[in-house]
Amino acid sequence: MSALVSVGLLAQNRTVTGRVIDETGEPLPQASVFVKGTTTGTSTDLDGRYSLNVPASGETLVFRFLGYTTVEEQIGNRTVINLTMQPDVQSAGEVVVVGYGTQKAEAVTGSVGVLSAEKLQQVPMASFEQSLQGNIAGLQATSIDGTPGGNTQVRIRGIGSITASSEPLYVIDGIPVQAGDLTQLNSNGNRSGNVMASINPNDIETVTVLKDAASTAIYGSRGANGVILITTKSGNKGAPKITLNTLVGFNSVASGNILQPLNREQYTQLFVEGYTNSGVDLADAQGRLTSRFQQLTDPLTGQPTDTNWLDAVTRTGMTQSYNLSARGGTDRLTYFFSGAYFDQESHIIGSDFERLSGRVNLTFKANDNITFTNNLNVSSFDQNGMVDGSAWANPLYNAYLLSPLIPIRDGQGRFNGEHQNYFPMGGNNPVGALSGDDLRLTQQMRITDNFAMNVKFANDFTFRTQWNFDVIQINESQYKNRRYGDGRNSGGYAQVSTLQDRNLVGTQTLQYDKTLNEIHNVSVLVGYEAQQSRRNATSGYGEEFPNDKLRTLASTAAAFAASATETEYTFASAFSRVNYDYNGKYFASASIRRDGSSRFGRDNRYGTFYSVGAGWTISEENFMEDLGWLQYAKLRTSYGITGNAAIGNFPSIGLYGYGRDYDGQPGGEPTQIGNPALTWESQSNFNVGLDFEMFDRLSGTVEYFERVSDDLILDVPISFTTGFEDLTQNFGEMTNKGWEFSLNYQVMQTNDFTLDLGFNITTLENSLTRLNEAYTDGTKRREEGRDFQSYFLFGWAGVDQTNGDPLWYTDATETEVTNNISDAERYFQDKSATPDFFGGFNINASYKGFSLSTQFTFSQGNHIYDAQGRFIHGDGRLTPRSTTTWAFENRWVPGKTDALLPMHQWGDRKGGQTANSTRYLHDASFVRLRNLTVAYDFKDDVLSFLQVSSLRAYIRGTNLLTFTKEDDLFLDPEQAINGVANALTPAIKTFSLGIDVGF
Amino acid sequence: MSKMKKRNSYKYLVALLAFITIGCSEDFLELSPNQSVADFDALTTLDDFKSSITAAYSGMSDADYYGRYFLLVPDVMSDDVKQHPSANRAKDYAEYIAIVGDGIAEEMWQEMWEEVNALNAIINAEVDLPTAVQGEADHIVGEAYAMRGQVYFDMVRIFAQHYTFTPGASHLGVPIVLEFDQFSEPSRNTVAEVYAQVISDMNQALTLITDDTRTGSTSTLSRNAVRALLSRVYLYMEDWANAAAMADAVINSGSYTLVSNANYMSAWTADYSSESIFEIAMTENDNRGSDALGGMYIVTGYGDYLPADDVVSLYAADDARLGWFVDDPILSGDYAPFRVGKYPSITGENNTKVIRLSEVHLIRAEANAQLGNTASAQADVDLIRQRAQPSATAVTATGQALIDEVLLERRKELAFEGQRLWDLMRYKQDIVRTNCTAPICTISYPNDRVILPIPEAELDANPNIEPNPGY
Repeated sequence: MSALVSVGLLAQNRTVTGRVIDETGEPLPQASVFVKGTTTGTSTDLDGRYSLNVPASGETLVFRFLGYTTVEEQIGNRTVINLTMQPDVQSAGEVVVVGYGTQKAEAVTGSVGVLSAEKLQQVPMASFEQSLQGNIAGLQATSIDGTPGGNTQVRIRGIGSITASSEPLYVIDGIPVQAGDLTQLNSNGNRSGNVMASINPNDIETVTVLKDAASTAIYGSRGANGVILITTKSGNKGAPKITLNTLVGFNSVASGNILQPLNREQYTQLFVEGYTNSGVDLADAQGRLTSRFQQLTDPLTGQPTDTNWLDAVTRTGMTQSYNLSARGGTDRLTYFFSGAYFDQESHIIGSDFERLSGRVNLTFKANDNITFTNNLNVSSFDQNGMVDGSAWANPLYNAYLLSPLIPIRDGQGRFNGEHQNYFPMGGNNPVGALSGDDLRLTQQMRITDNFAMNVKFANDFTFRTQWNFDVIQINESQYKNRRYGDGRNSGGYAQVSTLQDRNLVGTQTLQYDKTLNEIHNVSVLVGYEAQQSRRNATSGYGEEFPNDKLRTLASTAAAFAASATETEYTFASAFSRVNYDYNGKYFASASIRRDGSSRFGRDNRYGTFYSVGAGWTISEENFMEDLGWLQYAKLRTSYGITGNAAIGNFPSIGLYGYGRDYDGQPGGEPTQIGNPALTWESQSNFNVGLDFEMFDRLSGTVEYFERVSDDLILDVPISFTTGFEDLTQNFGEMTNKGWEFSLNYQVMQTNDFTLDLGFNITTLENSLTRLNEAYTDGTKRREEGRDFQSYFLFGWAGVDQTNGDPLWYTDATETEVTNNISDAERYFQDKSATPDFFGGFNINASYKGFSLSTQFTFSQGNHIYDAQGRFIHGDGRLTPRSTTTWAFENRWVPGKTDALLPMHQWGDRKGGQTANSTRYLHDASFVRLRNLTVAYDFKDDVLSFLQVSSLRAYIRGTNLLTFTKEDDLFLDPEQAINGVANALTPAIKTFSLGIDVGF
Repeated sequence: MSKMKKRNSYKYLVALLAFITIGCSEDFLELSPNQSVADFDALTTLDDFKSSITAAYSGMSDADYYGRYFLLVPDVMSDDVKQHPSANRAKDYAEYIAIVGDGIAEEMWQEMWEEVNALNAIINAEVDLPTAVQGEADHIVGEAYAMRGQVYFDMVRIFAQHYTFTPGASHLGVPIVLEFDQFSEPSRNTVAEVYAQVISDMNQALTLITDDTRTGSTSTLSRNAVRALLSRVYLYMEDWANAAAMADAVINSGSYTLVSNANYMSAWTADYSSESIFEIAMTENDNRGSDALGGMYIVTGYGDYLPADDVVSLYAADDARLGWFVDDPILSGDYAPFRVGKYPSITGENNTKVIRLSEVHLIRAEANAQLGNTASAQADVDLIRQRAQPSATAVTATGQALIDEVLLERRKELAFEGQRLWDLMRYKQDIVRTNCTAPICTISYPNDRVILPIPEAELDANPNIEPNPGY
């Protein structure tokens, strides 16, 4: 209550009083009331009342309260102005899911990114992680294997570890769950399977990504790589809302520039040339062609054999997605049901993914104080896949290496296997293998149940007990036929594997929320969590099938092998968090967690992790109140220590491993050196950010982060004379720092037309700050002071145009060249697989019923290495494998002066295809149109005619356009985070039509 | 009403406490692995000794060792083998262009050192076993000593120059490590020191091991097997007297008989023939499959390597050993006409023969020829030669000519068993490939590259170890 005494001369001062309440009728204390254009103002009291002495010139009173829509009232003649304020839909009450609870968006001191349901609805992809790409600053998500249902690698703010996993922790409805690829046989090095593909993306309400210590420290030893919180849809009070989503689409390869195999003429020419270049005379070389290839005339058609293997294994795949859900509830019970079917065929034959899932999420209010929730999800998903890398059975590898002079079918109409007699690669026939002659099937089933009880008592306390049961069952079957390919010498072989992963988690939390004096808001959380995870796996193998019709092990006659393994791990933790805010203006938070795990060495069983965070809503300060252009500005910072426990289940014990059998006897030998001090990796995390809203249309965030990962577990190479290759220790240190910038611009918002632009970009700088000793790891070298993913290769200097010799630079100065690789040394190229920056931008527009949504993702400075290039473009080293048209056109022949590749010579000895050379390194900077959706929402006239409550039709395309910095880049620019391209299914481009109906 | 509330609150409190106590015990976090055993638990009973020595044999059967490369690489470097144009594996050795980062060198080095470490663990284990099983345990420790000797012998001949390369064998050998030390970064001992260790280990084995094999088949070592291996070691050292003595002991034991002419070819497809002294077992369930030694030669495998005419032309027309050579009509020109059929199993189930009675006879013959025991040497050569070729005339050569006959018969009998390169080097011979399909056809003596490089990974991790010159 302020009393303003003024000696007014000309005009009359007057006192205006009133009461301010919110939409529920409750008083709004501490609301700000001031005269527009002046500094004259006051705040409402506990009862919402105010009294203000308004100068004569004052015409308008402005009422403002955080989270509510600012209101301007003309004073006119009134002396009493009462007001009911409405919550601001944009920012107020926007509640963000955080670890073990929720928080108002403006109160969050940590760094959090949110993706809401509409970005996940009916995306034509098997799992949701790919939708995160380009939408959340700081997050990189690449699907390393484009095969439907394949795994995605997610990195939040860079790579946090060298040997332990850098994958974030996934939490569904509050419980940490198993993610990634658990398959044993069909995994292609953990690339092709994904247990998160069990989740129907249409069931997800929001995905929250926790990036800094203040938000992740509450996950303690598992928070170092960031946390992804998934909240599934729950019911809401009201009449049942039934929705049917349907989508049908077609898939093909996204990258425009894929390599093409040779045709008959080209191959014949190359075959002969490969010999004449070695000094064989022409007639002899031609004779070798006819004596080697025994099926020069296609046995079925009688025409000259000219097989395009790539065409034969490619198709246009189809995607279908059908989702039916019902949502609603009464005062006591709210529900969400869904049932869905998703089927996607890859553009490679024989490769597909199919899922059936069902969900029931129920919330039951027993009385005013007790609420029960149960979320149950059952999902069954199958995948037919293919092998990757340089395996002879990889269709994206042998499509180029198999000669076009080999027919697809033999004289009896079966898939050809005769070429095992005259061509290397064991008679592999990718068309036959993928058309049913071989089998590579993964069947997965996942059941997840979250049960929770919330009890409110003694006014301010909430006790929650939550139990989760997550069971994953994986059955894999592999069969290789008896006639050709890998099974030809064993009468066919079959392999099976069964895995069951059972996770039980129990979490109890007690929360205390109190507001003191209407200004101080305190919230205290105390919790305890225990987790037990058990995995059992069995596998079997057998050979010698009686015919091609039977494929199960029961029919095999020889070479049986069976094996079974068991493993488990446990965690027991206690944690606490305190949040305090002063009047919604100043925020402070702190969290602490103590974790114990069976994974940590005996000497270091328990660890403590903490964080502190602070926030300041600058825009609420008095000195900022007049800035009309600034609606909201909050400065926040945090610091904390988190850990990474993905270090394997028994890394600290010295071990003897078994299975080293001989002559029917079991054998065991030393396999691991003990290190009882071995424990989790730790990370300190600093973050400072500014969230703002300006000009009523521009909102965004600027952030700076610094993650220092310490005690990194390194397999330090030791002398082989110890009997081991390396010793596992906590030793290294790595730093990731950068800026995140995201911006949303509401260009226009009228009744008919809206236009929104969004943009986010992250810069990333990674450095190995401490390493015991530099070491070379494949194509990269890990050295102190450098980016972890720095390439360290021989410098390819092109081709000597006088004689077709390959050339390399002798050293890093790149001044001298040599045609003898022994005279060259590897050096750093100052290129890395880590991008300099990455991000996304989107344009969303709507006009009347139409809406357009486009999303681009981009990345700059990431380099990829073509691991199969040295075989596919091998200059003829591997006689007589075929190659690509690109190699054919760019190889050196006498007289060519712009050759990119050396002379082709069978058994080539010049070494041009030596591994680890920049010849196979590519700049994969790209911009990709990831998503384009044009939709139309039908209007009431159509809706009432069809008797539905909503109807939407849309056309959606994903990965429609790709622009790469490097001209003629023939690999898809999106490869694994470590940059290695291993001849996996490249990214899929889809074009689909969908109809969503609401009843 | 409030009383009710209070009672409810207590109920909740009790429930709360109950939940918290679940999973609280210390045992909850103490778990043991199910597929491995902690190392302090691993060598405490006789069964543990058995499984440890079994693992050591299993290591020897690895594709990087006796499973394939240890026999293949020296043979492709010699003049007995020529490469097929599609040759891919070990090609760099056949062409003498391997580099220090080569994968085969690294894997072989690693495999051999894993063996040494596993054997050291058995030899150094200080366990009190009941007297009833002490004999068996001693036999196992004896096998471990013998195997360690053999591994060091194998290591020093493939990674270091042969014994007589310098007087007193004072040139660089391999490090000798007899105890586990995770910080070990040893420098290389001299070849003389390594051979001394080999002899010492094998002699120690002879005091512990019995005449019978532990398992009843020659897939594991017996006393005579150790003597046979030792006789070969003495031969390489040019200690002719000891070589002859050891060979005598094996032959005179009567435990082995030479395979007859009629059975010669079938003895190669079967396992455990009458002259088998030590073989590496490959079974239906445990073999190298397409990665076996045989796969390198047979047309239904990789077929990377072919027999050079240099060795094929040495056999007379009625020599039983010509049965090893299989005609392949697809081969043309310099590559024609034969493939090696000594290891015919497509599935890699042929056992690798480490040493057999025929070789022991030839060792004795060579030692005696060198010592001047002409008659004895001639008799042994005739025995082996006439077993294969009954019409062969008896040997009448003496002196250097006799030694040449012994070496000729050795080449013919032991072709494609990984011996030719060492035999050439011991006699300081050039390698001359007449029927040559590689870019290099003459490798003159001495040469830095007739041995494998010390692998790059070892050079990087161990500052004290000296690299092999020439790489």
